[in-house]
Formats: sequence, structure tokens, C-alpha cells
Amino acid sequence: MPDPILQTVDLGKTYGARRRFWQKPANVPPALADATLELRQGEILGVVGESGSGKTTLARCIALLERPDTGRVLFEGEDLTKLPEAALRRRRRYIQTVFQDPYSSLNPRQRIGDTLAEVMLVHGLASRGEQRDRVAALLEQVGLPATAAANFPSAFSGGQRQRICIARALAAEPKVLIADEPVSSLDVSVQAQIVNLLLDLKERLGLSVIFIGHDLQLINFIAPRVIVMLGGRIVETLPEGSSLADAKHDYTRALLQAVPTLEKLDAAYRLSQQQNMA
Amino acid sequence: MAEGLRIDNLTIAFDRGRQEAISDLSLQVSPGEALGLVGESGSGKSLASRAALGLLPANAKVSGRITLGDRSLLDLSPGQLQAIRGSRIAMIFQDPMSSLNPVVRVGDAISQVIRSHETVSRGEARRRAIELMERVGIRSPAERATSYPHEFSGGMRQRIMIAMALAARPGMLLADEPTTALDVIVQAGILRLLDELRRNEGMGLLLVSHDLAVVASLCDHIAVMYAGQIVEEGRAGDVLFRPRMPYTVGLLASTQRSKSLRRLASIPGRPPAPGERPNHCRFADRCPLVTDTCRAGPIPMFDVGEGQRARCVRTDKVPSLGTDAFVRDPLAVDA
Amino acid sequence: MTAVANNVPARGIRLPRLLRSGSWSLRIGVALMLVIVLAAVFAPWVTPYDPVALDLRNALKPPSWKNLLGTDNLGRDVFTRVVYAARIDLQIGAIGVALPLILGTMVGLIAGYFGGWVDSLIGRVIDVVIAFPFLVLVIAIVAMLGPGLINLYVALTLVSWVLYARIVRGETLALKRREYVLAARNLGYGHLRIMLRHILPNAIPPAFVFGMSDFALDVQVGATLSFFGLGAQPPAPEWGLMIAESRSMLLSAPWTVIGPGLAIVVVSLVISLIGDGLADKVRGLDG
Repeated sequence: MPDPILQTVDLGKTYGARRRFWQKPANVPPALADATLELRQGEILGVVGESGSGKTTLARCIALLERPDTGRVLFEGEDLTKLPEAALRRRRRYIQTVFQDPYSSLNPRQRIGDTLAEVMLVHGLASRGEQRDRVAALLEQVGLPATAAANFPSAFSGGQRQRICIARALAAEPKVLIADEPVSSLDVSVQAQIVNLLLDLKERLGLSVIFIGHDLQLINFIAPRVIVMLGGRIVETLPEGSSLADAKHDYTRALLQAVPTLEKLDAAYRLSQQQNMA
Repeated sequence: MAEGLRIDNLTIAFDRGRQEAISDLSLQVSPGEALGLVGESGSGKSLASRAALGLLPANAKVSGRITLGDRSLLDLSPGQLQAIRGSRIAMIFQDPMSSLNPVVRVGDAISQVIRSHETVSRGEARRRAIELMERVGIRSPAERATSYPHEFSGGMRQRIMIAMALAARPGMLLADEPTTALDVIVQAGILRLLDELRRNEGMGLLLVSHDLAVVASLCDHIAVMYAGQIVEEGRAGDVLFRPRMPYTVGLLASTQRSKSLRRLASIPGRPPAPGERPNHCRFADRCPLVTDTCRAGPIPMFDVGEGQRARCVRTDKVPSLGTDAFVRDPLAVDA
Repeated sequence: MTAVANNVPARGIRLPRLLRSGSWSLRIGVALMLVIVLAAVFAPWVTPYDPVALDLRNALKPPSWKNLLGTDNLGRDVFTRVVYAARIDLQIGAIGVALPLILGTMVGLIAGYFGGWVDSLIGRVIDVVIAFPFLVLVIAIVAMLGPGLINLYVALTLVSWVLYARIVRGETLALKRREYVLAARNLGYGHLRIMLRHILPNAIPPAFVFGMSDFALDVQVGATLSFFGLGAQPPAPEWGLMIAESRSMLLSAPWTVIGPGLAIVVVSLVISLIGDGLADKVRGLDG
């Protein structure tokens, strides 16, 4: 089994917990508690949860966009939470995030080409001369024409913007990609395009991916291993090779039952057709 | 008391008629019936339901007829429309924040709706408001009734809005993505409630959604919209499991999560925006079955039996179209 | 992607585009402003008279084709003086907006971005300055420093930066939570880069729009202070000063007061037209 590229140990975060000395301790439930997981080199790990389950907090703590109150984030064996600011900043590019809302994920006053080139500039990933070609290559990689570089975000649809966000993440040449509900604000047919793109890029670039979402069926399709979250905690891990039917936790089973799916209805339809025939 | 909703040849255009958002749309919802209007964003599905309540932007150019019972809704004055909104026809929107008054306690807001349509005592209205809150899945409703909207989460506000829409016992309910913002377990409860109201109280339901499975679980008829037109309609089971329009096939295929496929099916490209829509089949550029006939002129709806109709000249070829017709190299497309 | 946005990072002159793409109020406002500025700059070609030289034989002449707005008690052509005065008054407006805008934006950006005690401290200072009436504070500072235009600019800057700081701080607080700013942090960008490249261009347009209404206010404050003898000094032509000098003739020779008074009103109107137009554009942009 390959070594984990990323691990979290007992990760915890409580919002609004900081208080002045004269205030009573507020009874705020933690947004994230005791989150321990590992992401293996080159795998897709699925995280499923509903709103308030702590899945976005988990994503932000792993990317160190939120400082976890407790626990560690180990990237290639190094604890990121202990690093001083400057050292952390140099490591950040290895763990990239694709956010949920493609409409607020791009600077409205920055051209696409500048957005991508800025990443290379800051990290010295391409010389000025190489930048143009690299931008064009990145855009092509996500299925956009090179001419997109000259435009502002407002010229693009939601699906196209999400492709640009993926290109921006790839510009940093990351090792881990966190996709935090990357398709839930897109239309059904566009969702499929973006999911396929992510699957493709993962294979071609050897990325390790954490794919977060609320759609159990979709996550189960994408990810061999799936973690189920509820109330800030990991309640179940579905191991590789298991199917949703093997889920043991009551909550996972309730989720499965509550989702209307066409498969369930298909069975009912066939039954009614047979009855009509008879 | 319940009256049917009927839309005939509705066309809505913007920008002085240059951008047709909805073209020649006709549909019908009888009392006790549930019709699902399915489509992606920009297909015109939300606009159609708003038109029925007279909630169109001032610059919209509307033609056609919308009738509720024997009233022509497009001819009513704003005052007359206001009078039928609530009790005869009500609407649930996707965005709950805009329709709740921030300084009114939610219990009072629901009671007010009840009392403005029926003469009942304060206590009775209050009791029914709490009962409704319970039915939409709000725990300890008696306590929560005294809270203000900002004290609720987005999902809870959505449920309160649903309770308000149902408070006046409307004969016809228009629900525009009513559960999209909700978690699946809550969603299941709301869908069950809507289904009960329809079956037990004869409420008509027009459910607008992009989620085929949600629509399928609630509706006996389905109309699929694409680029401002209805492209397929019929009984829910027929449309979902024996589709005769390639777009419906593609839409269904993109919801399949079978592990035997390495990729999700997807329809290449994206729908044409209003103003860019061709005068022939609007799906032609994305269709795996496209031929020259498809680009010869406007395509009418064709009857394919048992009340199912599809806007396609090749309906006979559609059943042989498999999911694999929509699985492609994701880099070849442009969303 | 609009002209306003592109004007902010100073990428060449985009004025013609602003005129083409803006609303009517913006187009008319900018066109009229252009006329006023050109008239001020090319004043010697607009009018044959000297704004300062005395000509006592022609004192207090009513308006005529020879003297469009009449002459004052020292025989100077009122129209000429109004046109020349625009040089000083527009300068008061422009500098009175630019300096506080720059200072306030920097302070607001820092307060909003870093938060914590920095923000608390700056917030208190802002509250204290706002608690005083604007005009009283400006007059007090100028009175302390001594009359003159430079001191007027110092006073305007010291007082009105807080308004810009408050606007930019609020915008920054909201933008800080935007996902593109999170993405910038995620990409390992430094604070300065995030503040200047990703937050500032998006936070400054509302401050810019406010600056337009502030411009009109500053012109009026400049005129008011000159009226009290604290701004421009005679014999320099300045609208407020002209009104102050001629106030005793308000009834006998009203044209001496109406000329500069009208100029203040017109410039204020033109500026508010531009401000409205810009506000529309900013609103339409962030959808």
C-alpha cells in the first residue's frame, strides 16, 4: 500500500470559542472534532456530509486556511500546523483547493491570463518568456481555448469559471487537490463535465484528491474510499471495494434512504408495467 | 374549490422582443395533479412559473394565455392578482431570505397568512401555525414560533417559507426548486408533505426543478424544457424510462452513477442563450442523432403514443440511444 | 469589465470609453466637466479681460454683451473672474478628494484586512473624528495653522480621510471572505500582494463614487473658508472670496454675487451627475 501523502490527526476547530476572561465559556459545539484521516498517494478520497457536518471546515483546516485549534496536518510527513508563516507560505502551493462557488472564486478585475501567470510569478514556476505558453497549456488542459486568457471572469459561464479555477490550482503544480463541493452550484449536465475533467486530470497528473460533497451517490462513484461526516465528526469510513449497501452507520443508511434516485423509481416503474401487461 | 392551471402558447421575450426566454409554451395542471417542469438553468422553467403569479419584470413582453379556473391571470389587475395569491395559488421560491419580514416573528408571520384568508381566532391561527411548522419538520415548533427569521439557518427559513405558502391552503402550488437548498433528509420530509397535500386535499402542484429524481418521486406528469421550449412531455414513467427526445436521454444519462462506467455521461457543449437560438431544432448542435432534417426548420411536437410527445424528428431512433452516446473525452467539450 | 474598473489601476486613459459605455447622466456629466476644465485651463483665450487688473471707470456695470456677468466694484469683469476662479476651486475639489482618498484607503485596507487590535484602534479614531461636525473641524484646523490653500488641504485631509477609511474597511471585511481571496491565500501569496492586487481594486470603486460627492462638498467648503478669509487670499479670483467681497452689493449690484454663486451650483450639479453615473456602473459590475 502506498504511503499516505497527507494525514490529519485529531483535527479540531470551534468557531467563536475565543472569549474574554470575564465571559462565561459559551456552549458552542465544535465545527470539527477528532478528524483523523489519511490520503494515499494518487487516490481519490471522498468526503460526504450535509450542511453543518464540518466538511468545509475540514477542507479549510487541511489547507490551513483556518487554523485548527487542535490536532496536526501532516503533509509528506511534515506537520504544517507547526510551521512559521513564511515556511508555510512556500508549502501552500502543494495543497490546492477548488471552491464551491465559481462566481466568487475569481477576482472580477483580473484577466484570466494574469490570474494564472500570477501563480507562476509568485512561486517562480515559469520565466516571463515561458508564461504565455504555460497559460495556454493550462487552459487547454482544462478544455478552454487559449484566447480565454485575454478575458475577465464575467465573460464566462459557471462551468467555464470552475474550469478556470481548476487551471489556477494546477498552475501551482500541486500534489494534493481539495475539491470542496466543486459541482454543486452547476447544472446537471455541466456537473458531469467537471467531474470527468477532475477524474482525467487526477489520472494524467498523478494528483491525490480529496473530493467533498453532499451527494452520496456521486461521491461513491468518484471515490473508492468514502468518509461520512455528521455534526463535525467522521462517523463512518467506507473502505475500498465496499458498496453503499454495506454502510453500517444509521446516519449513512438514513441518507441513502432519503435520496430519491431514478434507480429506485425504475424498479417501481417496471413493476407497474408488468402489472399492466398481466 | 381547487382550480386547474392552464398555460396556452405562452411566449415571453426581453430586450424589445429580441431575446425570447420562453417560446410557445403550453401546459396544464389539474386539481390533485402534480406536473414536474424539468430543465437546466436558463431553460425558462422558473420564468414560466413566475408568469403564472404575475411576477415578471416590467420589461418582459408576454403573449399567450394563463388561466386559473376561468380567470385569465394575465388580464388581472395587480390588486385582483393579490387577492387570489395565497389561497388559490401560492408559490415557494428558491431564495427564502427575500420573502420573510425580518422584524416579524415566524409564528406570527404564518398566523397572519392564515388570518388574512380565513376568519379564525388568534388562538386557532396560532395553533395551526405551530402545527404547520411541525409538519415542515421544525423541531419544538411552539418555542421556535417566537423566533425571528435571522435566528434560523437557511434550510430552516426555507421550511418556514414553505409553511407560509401552505398556510392559506392553496388550491394550486407552484414550487420552484423548493428543496434545492435543503439537506436530503429534510428534503424527503418536505416532498412527503407536498405529496400528502396533493393526494388528500386535492392541491394541484407545479414542481419546477433541475433534479429529475426529485421530480420523478412526486409527479405523475413531466415536461422537459430546453432553451425556452418544452421538448418532451408525458407520464413520468414514460418520460424517465422510455424517453423519446435525445436531450432527455442525455439528461438522464448524466445522473447515472454506475461504477461500471469510468466516467459520468455528459452532454457536450451548453444550451444556446436567448438571442442565439436557431430557428431549427435547438438541441441540434449537441445531439448525437442530428441529421440535415433537424436543421431544416422549426420542429413541432410529435405524438409518440399514450400522451407522450417529443420535439424530435428521429423519435424512432431514440430508444436505441444508450448512455454511452454521451460518454466522451471531457477535454473535447466546453461547458 | 468596465471602464471604471480599468481606470482604477491606471492603465492608460479610458475616458472616451467611459463616455461611450456609461449612462446618460455619466456622459452628460463628464462632457460638461470637460467643458469647465478646458475653459479654466484656456481662460486667457476664453475671455479678453485680465482677472486682477483694476479698471475703476467701468466699476459695477450690469451684465451686457461686453461684460456677460457685469463688472464688480473695482471694474473687473465678473465672468472672467468666475472662469479664472475655476482653476483654484477645481484644484480644491480634486486635491481635497485625492489626498483623503489615498490616506483613507490605505488605513481602511489595513484595518479591514488585519482586523484584531489594529482594527479596533483605527475604528476608535474614526469614531472620534466623525463625532465632530465636519465644517467646524476644518475651520478649527485652518484657524490653528493659519489661512491659505495649503493649510486648507491639510485640514481637509485630516478630517475626511475617515470617511474613505470607513468605506474601504467595510468593503475589505466583506471581500476578505470571498473565495478568490481565500484562493490567493491558498496559493501562498503574501499579505501585500493580496491586499493590493486582489482586495484593493475591488474595494476602491465605492470610495471613488463617494469621492465624487465629496468633490462638490470640498468646493463648497473651499468657498466657505475663503468667504471667512481663511482660504484663498485677495485679489486671487475664487468663488467664495468673490461672494464675500461683493456681499454688501447684493441688493445694488446682484450680478456680482450671482456669477460666482451660479458657478458653485453648476459645478456641484455636474459632479453629482458623474457620481450618480459611476454609482450605477459600480452596481452593475459585481453581479
